Parts: sequence; C-alpha cells; structure tokens
Amino acid sequence: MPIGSDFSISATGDVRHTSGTTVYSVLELHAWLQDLADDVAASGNDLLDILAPNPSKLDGPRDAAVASRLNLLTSGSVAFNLDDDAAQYINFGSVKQAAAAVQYSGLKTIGGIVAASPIYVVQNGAKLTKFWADGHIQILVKVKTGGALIDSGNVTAFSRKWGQTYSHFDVALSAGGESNAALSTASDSNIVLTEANAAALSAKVTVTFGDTTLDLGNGNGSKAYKGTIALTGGCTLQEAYQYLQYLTRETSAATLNGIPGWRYRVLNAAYTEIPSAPFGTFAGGTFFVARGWALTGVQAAESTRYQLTAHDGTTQVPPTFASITVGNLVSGDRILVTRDNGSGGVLKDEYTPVADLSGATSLTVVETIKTDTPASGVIRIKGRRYAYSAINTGTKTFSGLSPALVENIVTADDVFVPLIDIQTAATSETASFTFASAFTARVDVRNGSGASPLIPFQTTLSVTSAGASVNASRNLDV
Amino acid sequence: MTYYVAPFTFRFPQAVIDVDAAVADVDCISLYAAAKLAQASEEGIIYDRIAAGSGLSLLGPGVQVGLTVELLGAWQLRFGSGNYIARVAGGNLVGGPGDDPIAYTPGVQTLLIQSAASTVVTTGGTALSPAESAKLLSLPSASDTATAVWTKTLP
Repeated sequence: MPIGSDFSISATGDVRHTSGTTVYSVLELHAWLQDLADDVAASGNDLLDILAPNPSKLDGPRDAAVASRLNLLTSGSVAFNLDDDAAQYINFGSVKQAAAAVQYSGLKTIGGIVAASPIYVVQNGAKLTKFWADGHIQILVKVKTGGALIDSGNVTAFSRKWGQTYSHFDVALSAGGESNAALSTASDSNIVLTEANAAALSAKVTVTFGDTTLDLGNGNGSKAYKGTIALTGGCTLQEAYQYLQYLTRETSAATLNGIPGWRYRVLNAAYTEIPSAPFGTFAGGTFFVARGWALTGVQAAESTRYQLTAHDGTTQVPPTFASITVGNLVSGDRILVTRDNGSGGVLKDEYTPVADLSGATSLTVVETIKTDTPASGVIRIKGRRYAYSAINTGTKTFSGLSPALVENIVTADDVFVPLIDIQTAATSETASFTFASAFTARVDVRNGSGASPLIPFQTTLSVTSAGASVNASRNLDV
Repeated sequence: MTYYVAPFTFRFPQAVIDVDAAVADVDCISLYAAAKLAQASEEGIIYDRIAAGSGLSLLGPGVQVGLTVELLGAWQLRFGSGNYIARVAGGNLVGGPGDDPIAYTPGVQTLLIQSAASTVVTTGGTALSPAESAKLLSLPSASDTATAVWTKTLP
C-alpha cells in the first residue's frame, strides 16, 4: 500500500496515521510529502498541494541506504507534524518538528538474540509502551518535547525474558538519525524453575543493600561489600541465582534499593555491569556473584562453589576447608600431627625465625606463612610449645605467644606449626584448616603412663582437599 | 629440651639419658617407665621414640619374663662422673649407637648385668594363696620339733 493510503495530512500540517500496519521509512515519508507538495490541488484527506508551504526537508544527503534526518517545517499557521501514534509507523531515521522543539529519533536493536526475544525500552526510568512485536526492533522514540530533551535523549533497550540470559544497552538518541542498541540473549540452562517456583524462593533468599564486611577465611581478611545476599533454609546457589534473575526479569514487581527490578543493573555505579545477570552469573555449577555483594548462608556442600568480588574489586574465592582427624584415643594420650619432613619425620625447620629475645610475645619468620596455617594455635619454637593468638601474613609474624619466649631465639633455631599438638581428654582430635595444597602429615600418638601405656603410634597421612583421618592402633606397651 | 623423671634426665636434642649424680644402680624397669613418660611428654613428643621394651610376660603368680630395654636411634644412658662402678640390673639394656647403650663417662666402669633368661619375681605380693600361707604358717618350727623330740617319752 502506498503511504498515502495509511496517513492523512490536515490543512494545518497534522500528519496522522489512519489505517494499516505498514511501517514506512523517514525517507518514504519525506518523499510522499514532497510528492504532494507539487500537486496542482490537494485531494482526499491529504490536504497538501503546491499552494501549501514546503512540508519537509532533509538534513544531509538523500540516501536510501542510510537513516534520514527529516525536518517537518513550520510556516505561519501551518506546522507539519507527526503525533506519537503516527510516529509508530515511521522508522529508519529521525524527525524534527515544531521548529525542532519536538524530535523523534530512530532506535534499532542489533545482535544475536534468541528468536522473538521480547525487548523493552526504558526512558527516564519508565518503560515505553510497547507498540512493536517481539524480536529486534526498529522504531522512532520521542526524545524531545517542548524544546527539552527527555533524559538528555538517552534510552536503554532491555531484553530480560525468564529462561534466557538478560541484556541491555544504553543509547544516546539526541543527535537524531538512527542509533543501534546491541543486545545479546541466549537460552539459560541454569533457569530450571517456573516463575512461580522462583517466586517462592523469597522465603530463602534475602537481598539487603548496605555496607557490610565479610571474611571468607581465605587469608585475605575482612573485605568490604555493599550488599548482602543471605541464603537460608537450605537454599542452593542455583536456586539463589534463579531467584535473583526472577527479581530482575522484565515483568518483575520487585523494588531493589528503590529501583524497579526490571531495570536494576548494578549495585554501585562505579562497578562494571553484568548485563546477562545483574546479580551475577552461574556457570558450571559455580555462582560468580556480581561485584559488591557478600553472600552468606551457603550450604557446606557448596562452600567452594561461588566467587565474590569485594567492593575494592578483588576477587574473593572461598577457601577449601580440610580437616585431619585422629581417632581411637583415650584421655591422656598425647597427639602430635605435623608436616612430614620428606622422610617420615617431623618437619621441624618449617620456618626460619628472625632472631628474638627472651620475653618477647611475638616471633617473625623469614618465609611466607603458609595459607593453611590456623589463625591461632600452637607453634613450636626451638622445640618448645607455645600458643599463639594471631598471625600477620603481611609481616610474617606470630603474635600473642603464651608463654612469652623463655629463651633467646636465633635464626638457626627450628620453628614449626603443628596441626595438632595436644594431650587429649577425648576419644578423637580434629584439626580444621584452610586447604592450600596436598601434603603429607606425620601423626604421633603416645601415652606412657596410666593403666594402659601405649606403644607409640606413628604413621604418615596423605592430606588432600578432602582431608585425612586415621585411628591410632592401641598396642599396649610393657 | 629436657624431661626429668628421677633419677633420669632425658636430653632430647642430644639423645642422652643422664643419671643423677650419686646414683650408681639403675633398674631397667624404672628406666623404661621413665622413658615411656619422657617420649610421651610435651617435650618428647616431637622427637623420635626413645626406647622399646619387651618381656614381662607373666609366667605364673608373681613371676614374669625379664624386661629387655632397647635404646633406639642414638639414645644412650650416661652416668654421672666419678670413680665408681655403675650397675644396670633388673633386666637387659641393649641398643644405642653401635649397640652400645652406655655413654662413656670418665672414671666410671659400668656393669651391665644381662641374662639370656632373666625373670622377675614379685616380692611382698601374693606368691602364695591365703590357704597356702596359712598352712605354711601352721607348720611347727624347728625349735618346736626339737622340743617335741626331747620331751618325747619312749615306751
């Protein structure tokens, strides 16, 4: 159908859509207006002929291959113009009118998206009423009215369909012509719940905005975060991911820190956004939480299946906790678990001490303190047993020694940190620590007194991320 | 690092068991009891085992196979200096570097009283049952027997 069949022009210049669903280009609009403007006399509902003012002119060359910038002209009482409804049937370019006080600009989405991905456009914090079909769009957006740009002429194209990865793209439309918004969506295999089931997870996932700190125990200390995602009730990481996607889908009714969920993008304006998943992505069974979010309540079975990014931008990976358990003990047994020295013995020269004086309550070592060293525990200095209350990996210092050093320490003295060094009152002893790498441990269990002196039990254990355990053999000594 | 159980001082870094001065007689059972305490102590747990003991199997009431104490690794027994004869008894003491369980001390001659078939007899215990003890105590003494013979009137 020719454009003239779908539009009318009033004597005062109002160009209105009257019928049809065809969308015409800006250039076609201009060509039609100019065609009417040289007619001898107006006809039908197109009240434009050679006696009327010039209705339009192009800014820039006439080229059907590029988006056109059209000016609808005003002359005296005749002001050629589109209304918002008519603009829905025009695309591929921009239209200025009312002496440039009103402007429609072209917006086109491009990129790889799932077929018929729904797209919505947000302008000045509100969704534009959709007049387009699902899938890529090529439309005109009113960006200026009354001589003022609406939100500086900026809009954002979104696609956030449940079951797909999300996407959004900011576009500046103030310059006119047509601008592209690159979107990318894909089927999200990690979304396995229905929206209703995802909604029910609100009982298990709490999102709180506000400064907080969290120490994952990975040796990096306490880190600052700007919000907390708290899991309860046995919520899995994948469930949490789905709920957070649910909160930010196109039809979300949630409000996140004062922002509607459907346009929530990032926790802090300084952070890099993750368009596909505003709270973080889920891949390979691991939740890569968006920057600034602390995550709590993760189940033990998934304790290493997430990754955070602290406010300072550092990646925080939860540590793998391992434990060594020595069982089949009786009260009074003395247990020592240390690192093996490579030949089945106790590794006594694990660290080289910096010379220190008797009476000191801290000891600095030359080597980097191993990441699997407990934050507090027992340290053997020159063979003598001391408790320490803190370590500083930066200064390589064990502090809070108790008792204070009873003798001077020189660099040749042996220093090591046992994993277990205790006389037990229980039937088993366990040491939990942050696993760094596999190692061989030496285990000694001795009891030389009481009614059942024990032939010293000694063995080595291969300690992996799964930990290790052993039961002492209780062979009575003579 | 030392650990003391009278009359022994266990010097772990040196692997030496010093016997207190003026103590010339060492009983193997006491020595081994002390070694067990020392190697299971806070000080001793980080070092290798000091000694291994064998024997003391029960042969009967109050009678056991003798104890053999083997000093392990470089461990040795060392007596205090002086001019005397030291004795190690109450079992067999073996082991030590080069199978020498005794460290040299100037002026001290050490006598290791060894036995291939030693036994330990418990004294002051219950070697006899109460009935046996009563029966034994009820027997007439030699004096009673002599008096009875002297006063016996022949028919």
